[in-house]
Amino acid sequence: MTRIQETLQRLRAENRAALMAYLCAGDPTVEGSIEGLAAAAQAGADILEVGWPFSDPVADGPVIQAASERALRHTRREDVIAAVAALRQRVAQPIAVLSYCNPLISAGRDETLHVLAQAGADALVVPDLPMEESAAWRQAAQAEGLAITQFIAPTTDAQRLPHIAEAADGFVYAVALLGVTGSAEDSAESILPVVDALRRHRDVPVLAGFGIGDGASAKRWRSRGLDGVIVGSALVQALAERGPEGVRRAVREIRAGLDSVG
Amino acid sequence: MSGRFGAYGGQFVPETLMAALSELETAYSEAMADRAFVDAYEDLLREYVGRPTPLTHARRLTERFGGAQVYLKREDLAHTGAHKINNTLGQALLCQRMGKHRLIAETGAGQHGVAAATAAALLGLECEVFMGSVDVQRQAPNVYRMELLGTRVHAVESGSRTLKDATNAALREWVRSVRDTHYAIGSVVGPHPFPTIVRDLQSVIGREVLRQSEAAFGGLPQAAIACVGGGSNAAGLFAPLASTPVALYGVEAAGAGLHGHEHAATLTRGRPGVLHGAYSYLLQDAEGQVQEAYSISAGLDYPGVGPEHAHWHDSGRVRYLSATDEEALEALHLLAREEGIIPALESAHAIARAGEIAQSLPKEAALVVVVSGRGDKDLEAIRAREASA
Repeated sequence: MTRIQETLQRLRAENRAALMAYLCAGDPTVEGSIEGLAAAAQAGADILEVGWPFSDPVADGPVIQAASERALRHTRREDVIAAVAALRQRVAQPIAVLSYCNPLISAGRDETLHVLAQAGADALVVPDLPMEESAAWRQAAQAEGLAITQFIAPTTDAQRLPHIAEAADGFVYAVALLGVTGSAEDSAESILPVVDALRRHRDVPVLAGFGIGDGASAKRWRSRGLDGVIVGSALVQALAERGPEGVRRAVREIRAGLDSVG
Repeated sequence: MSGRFGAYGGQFVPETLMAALSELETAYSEAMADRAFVDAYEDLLREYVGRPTPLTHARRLTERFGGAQVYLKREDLAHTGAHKINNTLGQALLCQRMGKHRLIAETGAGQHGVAAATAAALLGLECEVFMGSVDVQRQAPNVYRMELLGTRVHAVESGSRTLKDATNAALREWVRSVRDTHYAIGSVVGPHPFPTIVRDLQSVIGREVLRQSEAAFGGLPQAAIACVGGGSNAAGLFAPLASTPVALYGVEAAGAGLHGHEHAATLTRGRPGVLHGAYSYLLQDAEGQVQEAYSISAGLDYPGVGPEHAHWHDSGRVRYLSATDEEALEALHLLAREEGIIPALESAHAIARAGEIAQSLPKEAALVVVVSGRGDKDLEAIRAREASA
């Protein structure tokens, strides 16, 4: 069993929600982003998500776009890999790497997957890699013990769900709204039926992300029956404004929201 | 529809858009099989755009080059002054057919934005256009044109604040509004089925060239040439000619020269990668970060290129050349003085390479050059550059 599967299974057994915490590697510095994620782990995050900054982050809203732009001024490929390796030394939690396709394929996809797995990554979250494009990626990732995350969205067609369920590894990322990361509203009425339909094909853990930034919204999604939440923009902002302590506080608050659901 | 051109193309987009792409593919296939839809589109091309555009025998330019007979395919005479309208009218009709009431588009120089605004006005659709804030400054008259046509223009402040970032912003807006909005992409780029749809809608250029060549000189031209940014006028020329023996040439923008980074010669200097939903050639650094392109022509100033061009490039069916800013400006002056036609700076890149190709061919051969648009929009930029030279 992989580290992610183990973590999610244990949380289910304990009837606790999973919290995945995102920060962008290199924002504000490589060291600062490592400190921020370590603080998130300490404060109760169950999975850490290391963002690989990219010039054209089309799924991201203004907060993560700006973090990516700041990071790119001084962050190189080797820094992202070193950040994963440094976190692997410091925390026991599974580590996911969020990257758009192009930085991953630039030096050869399989080589990059290998290097990330060696550094200690457990999963890849690739926002511009839908199920249809992911077959060869999954094969290559499997050989390295890496999971390629599958997505569902409020618009996901029912006909594709069996294939998404089958391709799922670790957890499925439910895009909680129509829009980019950090948006204000959610689209619960349209994503929840998709989550239910997915689970009828396969009982796979589903984490909701996009627009979830505080204890109240985390609690709402937990009470809707999701296995957990993914928080990005709110933590990026907390780190920028108040450093690792800000991240710690934000994660504690979200953790409390999740844990308040019986 | 396969969605792949050799290894290139695909659908590298957020999950939220997958349903819209599949809806679009179905709607497009059904529309093309529906005589009433095709008739409505062709009527608009004839009665509103003014097609067919002429194939003009450029006699003085031919004499000047001293080789093959040069024929100009006059997309500059299409309504709104460029080939872009062929695409936006088709996509606006598709938008209506899918029951969506709102059109969004990205634009660089503003030509596609104006064409989208025009089609939206004609068909009574809402329209919003995303344009990098740098381009909003550089192309103020086109911003005003779009506003006159009832379109809202959003200045995009992220990244390099040009076409690449305007496309990111349009994609983000589409993710938000996908249920009631169609994204009318402006070139043969983006995720499947856009490269196929835009190529098909622009293929009227190549089909007219075939018919007009037969009428003008009784057969096929020896060679045909078009400029390539994203590559829509070129794809529209090449697609109907790809199965003939006609030699095909695309001309990319070499900007300040191919030695440095100040160019937009994606096929000549880039390597394959994923941007804006497709796997194709890209200008990128060693670590896969997309680089800013540069050209005097805002319409060629794009670090990607359509996936079918990547395939034609690799297979050798089309040869891709490049022309610098200086060469394009010289070509613009040449066409203005010799033929009384002021081409768009984009189109001037094709003219710039036409001389050598004409000279390599016998006098009885014919060479077709696409004049993809007219140069009015560029006059201020050209005047400013020549005043500072």
